[in-house]
Amino acid sequence: MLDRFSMVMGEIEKDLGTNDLNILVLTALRDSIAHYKGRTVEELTSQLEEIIHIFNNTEPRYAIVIFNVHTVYREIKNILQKESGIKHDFGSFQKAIVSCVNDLLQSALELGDQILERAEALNLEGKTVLIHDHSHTVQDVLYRLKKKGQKFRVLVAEQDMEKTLRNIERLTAYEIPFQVVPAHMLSNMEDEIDMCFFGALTLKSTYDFVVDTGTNAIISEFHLQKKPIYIFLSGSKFSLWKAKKKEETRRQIHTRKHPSKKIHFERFKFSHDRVPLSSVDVVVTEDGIFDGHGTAKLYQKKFKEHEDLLREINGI
Amino acid sequence: MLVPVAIFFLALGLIAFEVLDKALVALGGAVLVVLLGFLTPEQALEAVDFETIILLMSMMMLVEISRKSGIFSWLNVRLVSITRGNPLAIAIIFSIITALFSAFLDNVTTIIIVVPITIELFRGLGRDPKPIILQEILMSNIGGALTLIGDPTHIIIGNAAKLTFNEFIVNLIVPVGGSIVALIGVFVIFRWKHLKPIANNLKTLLLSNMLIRKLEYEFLNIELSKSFIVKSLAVIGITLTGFALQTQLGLPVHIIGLAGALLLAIICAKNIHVHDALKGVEWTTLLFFAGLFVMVGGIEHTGILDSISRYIVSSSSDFGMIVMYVLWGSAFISMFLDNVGFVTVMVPVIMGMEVQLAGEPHVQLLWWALALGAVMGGNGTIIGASANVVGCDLAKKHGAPIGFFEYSKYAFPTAMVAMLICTAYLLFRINS
Repeated sequence: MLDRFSMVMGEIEKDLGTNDLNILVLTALRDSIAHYKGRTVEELTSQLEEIIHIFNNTEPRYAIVIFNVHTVYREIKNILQKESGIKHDFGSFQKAIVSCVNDLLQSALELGDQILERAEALNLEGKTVLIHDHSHTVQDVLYRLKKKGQKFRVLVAEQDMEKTLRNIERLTAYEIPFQVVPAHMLSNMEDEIDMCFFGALTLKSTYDFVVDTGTNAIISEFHLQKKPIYIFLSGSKFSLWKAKKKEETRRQIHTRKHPSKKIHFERFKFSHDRVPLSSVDVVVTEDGIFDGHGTAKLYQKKFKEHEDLLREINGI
Repeated sequence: MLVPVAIFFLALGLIAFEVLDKALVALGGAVLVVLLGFLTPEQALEAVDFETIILLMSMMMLVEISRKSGIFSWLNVRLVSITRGNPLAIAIIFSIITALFSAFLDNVTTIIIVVPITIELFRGLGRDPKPIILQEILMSNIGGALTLIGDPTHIIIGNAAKLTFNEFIVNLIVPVGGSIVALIGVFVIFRWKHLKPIANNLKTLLLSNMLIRKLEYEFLNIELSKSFIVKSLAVIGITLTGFALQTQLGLPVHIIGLAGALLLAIICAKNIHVHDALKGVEWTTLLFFAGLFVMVGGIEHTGILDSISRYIVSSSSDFGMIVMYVLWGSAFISMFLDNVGFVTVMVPVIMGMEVQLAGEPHVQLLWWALALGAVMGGNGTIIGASANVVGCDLAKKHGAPIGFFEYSKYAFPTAMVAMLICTAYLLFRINS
């Protein structure tokens, strides 16, 4: 079952991104709890604990999902503690959990807006912004700033065709002027680029961002050129546990065939890149806009809050 | 006299073993029949049933344009959402929807629409998708047996026997409906282990719901144009109504079909270019039909089909037995030979039998026996129908290969169940 969840969540994250994965999981969790046909509170609690265990152990783990399920678990514990000694009504308990998950879902849906509100402070007027990954947050930020009347140009660093096309489709739909350049030819356009925008999956306890493959190379290049690097990331996506090791990138090896000759070869693909916080100049979250030092402090604050949450859950 | 027969069987053999594309084989056979003098070019042209070809072409265009609107995928995914991931509900709803789609679209298109979504759902749940794929293949063939337009063999029979759209439904709803219900029952009984409810298992319920939402994104991640969908549904509705009222309208079905396809192509010209609409027409299939008609025309001219009619009629004095010979004979032959080719040959045989049994009040049942036998029998083996091959190809592409014996192990007994229902129905009609 753990493998199933890991596979499905991995596919969803690859196609939709982490924010949408979170919303999808919360929606599915809400509907599942609502349609669950159980008899006792203990049964439902036990099954929820199994689900929490699964989300805590998927490969990879998704910080934003883990944070939410821990919040649900705290709510369960609070209800049980409040009504200890009384026989719990299954129906009301089920409704209360559904309501809790629904509240988290609403917060998740509003999270994007909160980041966009912070991003309104950015000034892109007359600038050229480089983007690379298919982060929806980055796209939404660009759209928000365009709607605010700012005039700027976007340069799309071409990568995996499917992701690049999605970027192109969204920029076209938002009527944001853009051009495309292959990622390996960016050195010819360094002088034209004013800033770089990226999304990220998470920030780990080693202060590395987990990002789309190819991002590290671009960030390294433009960090050297002293072009400001921006990362847009919700604080709820921080991985609030000690990372086991620095590099946990998954490698896939595929055997490919030359299209016209009888040549077979191995082709490596990797799941993600790692970018150190020190290479990033600005991190935009729903809590504010931070430099490297400020981001590290924010991470530490959230790490402690999560530790307190876990202590609270275990202590109740 | 036997040369056209030999050419015909050689062509069927080359098609069965996929030596060459079926259109090339059939046209090659047709040209040979003319070159060897068994038919004049004028006779060859007369032998081609253009009404069948036009109706087939029209339905292909109609289906292709409607498919591009996304309406079938949308409907499919919406139905998946209704099931809430419950395996029993998925099995029943997908069986019914496959049969219904197949009654009005062609079987292969139905399989292409339905199977990928099912594979995605079952794989994600960690369940073997093969049983449900097999069920959908069987349902697509059975559902296609309900209407005039549901299967190419029915179009050939309908045109030859002058049977209307409504007559197909009225006469076949009982055996087809009964077979659908029976096969769903068989599936549920034999696969109950994999179909148990999941509503009391929160983990499985959650995984199902996540998969359903993932499917909604994947298969509905296209911009659905409401007006395109509305136009498609409206024209499909008008065309089907036209089929149902063909007697009152005094129009043949191929003209109604062509009018419907052209109307949809014109009003949706902004949504889909006519070149793309025409890409959905399987021209090789239509050429195959043309070649087939000429080869059968050649066989007809030898008089051998008349002999076969007389032989079958004289084999028994009991009309019921004759109907059973046609039903079961068609079924077993269709399992191993292309059922379109077989039905095309049988049409003049049945016409001959009709003449010889002129006094028999239920003589029309011969056509229904042929229609049911050809379609139900086609379920028995992988090679029995195109939908079987396409369904198994899709399964193989998604890492769930279904071999010949694996297919037959389940499909043959279930085909026999359907055949027993058809047998009971026809005998009841004869004796009533």
